[in-house]
Amino acid sequence: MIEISGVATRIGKLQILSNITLGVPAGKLVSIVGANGAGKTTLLRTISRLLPVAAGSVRFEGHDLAALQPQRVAELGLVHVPQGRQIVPNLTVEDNLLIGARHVRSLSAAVIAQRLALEYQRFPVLSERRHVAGSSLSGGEQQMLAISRALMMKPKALMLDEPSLGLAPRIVALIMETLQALRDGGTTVLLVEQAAMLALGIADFGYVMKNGRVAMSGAARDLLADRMLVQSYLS
Amino acid sequence: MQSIDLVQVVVSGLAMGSVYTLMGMGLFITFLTSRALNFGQGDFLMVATFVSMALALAGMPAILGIALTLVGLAGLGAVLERVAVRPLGQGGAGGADSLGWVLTTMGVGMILQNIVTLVWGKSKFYSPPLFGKGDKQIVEILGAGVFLEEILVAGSCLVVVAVLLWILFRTRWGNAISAVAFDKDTASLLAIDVKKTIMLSYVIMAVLAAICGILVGPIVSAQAHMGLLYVLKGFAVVCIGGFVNPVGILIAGLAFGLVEAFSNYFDSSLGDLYPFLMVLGFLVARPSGLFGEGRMDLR
Amino acid sequence: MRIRYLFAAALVAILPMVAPNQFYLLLASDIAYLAIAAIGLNILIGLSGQLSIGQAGFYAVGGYTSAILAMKYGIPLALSAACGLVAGLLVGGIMSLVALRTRTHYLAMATLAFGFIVEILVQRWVDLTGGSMGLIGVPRLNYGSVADGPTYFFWTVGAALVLCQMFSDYIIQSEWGRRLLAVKESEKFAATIGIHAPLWRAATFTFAAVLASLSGIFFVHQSGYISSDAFGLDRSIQFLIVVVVGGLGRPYAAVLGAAFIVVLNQATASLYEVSYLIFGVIFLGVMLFFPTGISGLLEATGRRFVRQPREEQGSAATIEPFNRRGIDAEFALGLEGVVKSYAGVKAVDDASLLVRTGTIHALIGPNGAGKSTLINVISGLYLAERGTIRLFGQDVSRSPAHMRARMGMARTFQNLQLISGIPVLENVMLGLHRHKGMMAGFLDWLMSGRLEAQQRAIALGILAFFGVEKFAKARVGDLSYGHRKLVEMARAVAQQPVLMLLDEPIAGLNEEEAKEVAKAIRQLRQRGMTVVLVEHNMPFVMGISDRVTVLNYGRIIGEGTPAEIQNDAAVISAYLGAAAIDGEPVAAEARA
Repeated sequence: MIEISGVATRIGKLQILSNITLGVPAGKLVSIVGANGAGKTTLLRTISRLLPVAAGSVRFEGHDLAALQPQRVAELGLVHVPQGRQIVPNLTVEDNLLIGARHVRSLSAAVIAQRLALEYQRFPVLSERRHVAGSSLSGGEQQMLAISRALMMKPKALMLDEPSLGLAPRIVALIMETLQALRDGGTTVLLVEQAAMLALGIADFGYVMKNGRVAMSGAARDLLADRMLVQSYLS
Repeated sequence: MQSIDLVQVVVSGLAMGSVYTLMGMGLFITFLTSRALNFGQGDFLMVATFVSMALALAGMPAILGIALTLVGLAGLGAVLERVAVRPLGQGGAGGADSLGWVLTTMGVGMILQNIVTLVWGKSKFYSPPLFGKGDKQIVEILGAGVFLEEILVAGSCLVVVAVLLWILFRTRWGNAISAVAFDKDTASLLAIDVKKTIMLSYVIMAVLAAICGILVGPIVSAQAHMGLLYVLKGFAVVCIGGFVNPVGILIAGLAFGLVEAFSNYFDSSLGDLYPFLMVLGFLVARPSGLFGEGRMDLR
Repeated sequence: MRIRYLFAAALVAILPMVAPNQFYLLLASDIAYLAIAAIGLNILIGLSGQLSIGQAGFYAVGGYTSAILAMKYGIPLALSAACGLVAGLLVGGIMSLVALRTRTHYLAMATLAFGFIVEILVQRWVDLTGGSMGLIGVPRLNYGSVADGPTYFFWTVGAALVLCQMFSDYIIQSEWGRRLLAVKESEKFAATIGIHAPLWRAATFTFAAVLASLSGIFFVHQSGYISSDAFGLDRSIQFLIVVVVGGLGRPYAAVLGAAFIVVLNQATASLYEVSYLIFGVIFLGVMLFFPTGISGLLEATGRRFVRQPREEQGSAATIEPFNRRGIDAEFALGLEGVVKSYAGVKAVDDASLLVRTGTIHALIGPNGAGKSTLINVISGLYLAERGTIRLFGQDVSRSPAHMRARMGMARTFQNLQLISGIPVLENVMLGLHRHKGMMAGFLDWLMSGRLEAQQRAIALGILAFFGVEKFAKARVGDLSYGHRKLVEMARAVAQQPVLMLLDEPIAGLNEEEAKEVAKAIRQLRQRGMTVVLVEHNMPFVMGISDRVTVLNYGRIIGEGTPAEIQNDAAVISAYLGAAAIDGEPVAAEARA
């Protein structure tokens, strides 16, 4: 569903990614792990076109994304949940949920209302706090809101950047369960995480990034068993 | 001070204060999305005053004249964004670093002033009343005679503020403005067209200035250089309210209008002085406005 | 001796002889006093980053003080002018305190309000100022001669302009200007190189106010008639236009902008019907096509025709850049129970740490572990809520960042803090300690023509130490990321620190560059420096550090030699995320 081949990304004069090739099959949960500074966030930002593709090609369902602006990528159904949740602080929880969906032209008001009910069901805490400002939520609630906000846009594929960052273990477990449930419901998931055990534990396939390149790849189970994994982090 | 005077002063203070509020809202909205202010916003107001006055004098029905003025100014706002703001590029526009937008927006304002003097000359004009029929229609409130026009100006402005707040907080476009103001990258991940949203904020700014222009026409004298004071008082109002909160701007705007009206009542020679003294004192006490928050400049 | 000022002085001297009539002298005088006020504003906005839209207020304070004293009290002109300057100094000093409280738009508003207040007072206090009807018979600056008055006036104002320009050039070219640019870049950053930013901001603000007053004093004594109309907001905006059109922050912005505006005013005088139109179109055109103003335009054309003069190279090899300050404390840095939280979350929680003098000590931990916060607490950008921080045995817990920097602490930043508009060498010189007072430095600069030669040589030596001396004259923006990192370290070394804090020194570097940085850090240790670094690259950390401290969730979860850390179970699980669920793989739990 997402096909990346030979991608390089530069920020200014700095080459962050070189020759990245990876694929995310439809309906699967794929995790990209690696220490910080490995280039994971840059990769997601390149796919969603916040950064220009310096070389190689990025395709989503056959569409070449290189020529598109980020809002068009989102409308195609490839939605990126950025690092740090990025909840609009002065809008209410409900407005935060609606904001993306309202800008996807193919979604009618009825569909949006339906999806809103669905998200409130998924995370009841959001329903309880629907009228408070986004900034007053706890970190965990903000992460749920960020995921729900993306799901409101009816994505075919979801990309998440470090959703576990800074959250309590109980919330992390809930988020991971949610991602698995999404995959089981047919949504393609691309998860970027520093916490390798966690991300590979729920994934079908995994990639390990290091210094802007793909260092290892394979079935998530095999990667977890590999001693090289620890080495790629601590040496 | 007699109670009759009190009512009159309060009403005219609220009328002007609500105009300053709208001007402040216009500055605030373009600042939110583009980190730039339209220094020529007062000239937008002035153009609207003249255009609506000319249309009314030409015998056009008030509603049609107002609609035409609003549409024309909205177009002008979009052109301003495209020609004088967007080419300067994003980033740094709000800091002292690149003050390009001060000159470009002021330049557009000067061009407008000149066009108006070429068309209408330099003398002062009075627009025909918008609401009442005769000249200076007076109604009675609490035993005091008050200009109907002033009450209606204040009322209309408050309605506009309410509509604006509704647009900002309840509609998809308003939410888009909030998202763009928060973070442009995040906004575009939410399928929001950032460039269009910025242009929209300039259109809203221009429409607000146009409404002010239409409303003040009948209560003040109009001339080509009238705009500057309005944009400056609008700027004072946003600074007092803080560049973060439209409700703060509303409070600050009405307060500024009232202070101005009362100080003019008590001291007709130095009346303009006290509002600005208070602004200065206020900024010393609260350096980033009523609802502003000090942010670390750590990078 | 800087020869160009002799030329400028000669030009001022002979202009009255060659000018066809007095009208041209009048224009030249207008340009000169407009430029004097603009010089102050140019330094205020362009260098220190403070936006003022109220300079006409100071212009009026100076002008009216001198005019009224001279006219109503018969005080000699020289004395009344001096009083005008003192008035500008006082009012400017008071307003500079307001300026310290506010920033950006709020500062602009505060100065605007000040300008308004002065304008209204001048306009309405008719008994004193004559209001808009004006004062007639203000003594003219003509040294007693009516016929040659304009010539004498021009000579005086021209001489003043040359002096102001000299001083402005000195500031822009010397360490003073660099320090202001650092303040403009970021006050926090400025503090970490030992600059007390508020003092610098206030001094610059007052300086600009005094120059505006001087300009006003010339104005009131030019024609013998003044009216309050000339001291309003229009004038403040005119000053602003002059510097922006001239090229904000450039050395000759004020003169070029003033000449442009005065000449344009004159040229459009006959077209007064469309003068606003012309001005508007020109402002738009200049800003859209030449955002750096006339200076930028001239520089661009100049570069095409004029070869840049070559400056002499300092002899890099002969100078020892490291001035070892002896310290006898066993621990260069000691933390005890340090706590720092934001919005209720403890980013650093009860951190205790000792860094032995002369060692390399690494801080590592997953994203969000609190490493950056800890570095900021150590350097003084954040104050710890609880706990003690000792620098060389001395308690600095409450000392501000600039004091800690002066005690011998230097740091680099994760996102690089360099000033992009000035050459690499000057960025390094920013770190060097001040060597002379302002007047001594000024005279030195004026007479020798060689600015800070010794400083340059030292800075070049430090660049050479990092192997990047060939970029000394390049702008920071033209350097690769890796080289910028090295330049930033060079600046930190220039502070002659005893303790260096390096925040991600090799992030974004390729392997070759990383090796060079590692080599440099080892050499620093060899010369007696203590290095504390935050870095994610494990081979680098493990290869270079004497000791490693691991943070997670704001707490220190391990400390030891690199080998000990690599085999520490708690550390491994913190890195791979297993700690998040108390050691059990979440997948098993979630799938079950």
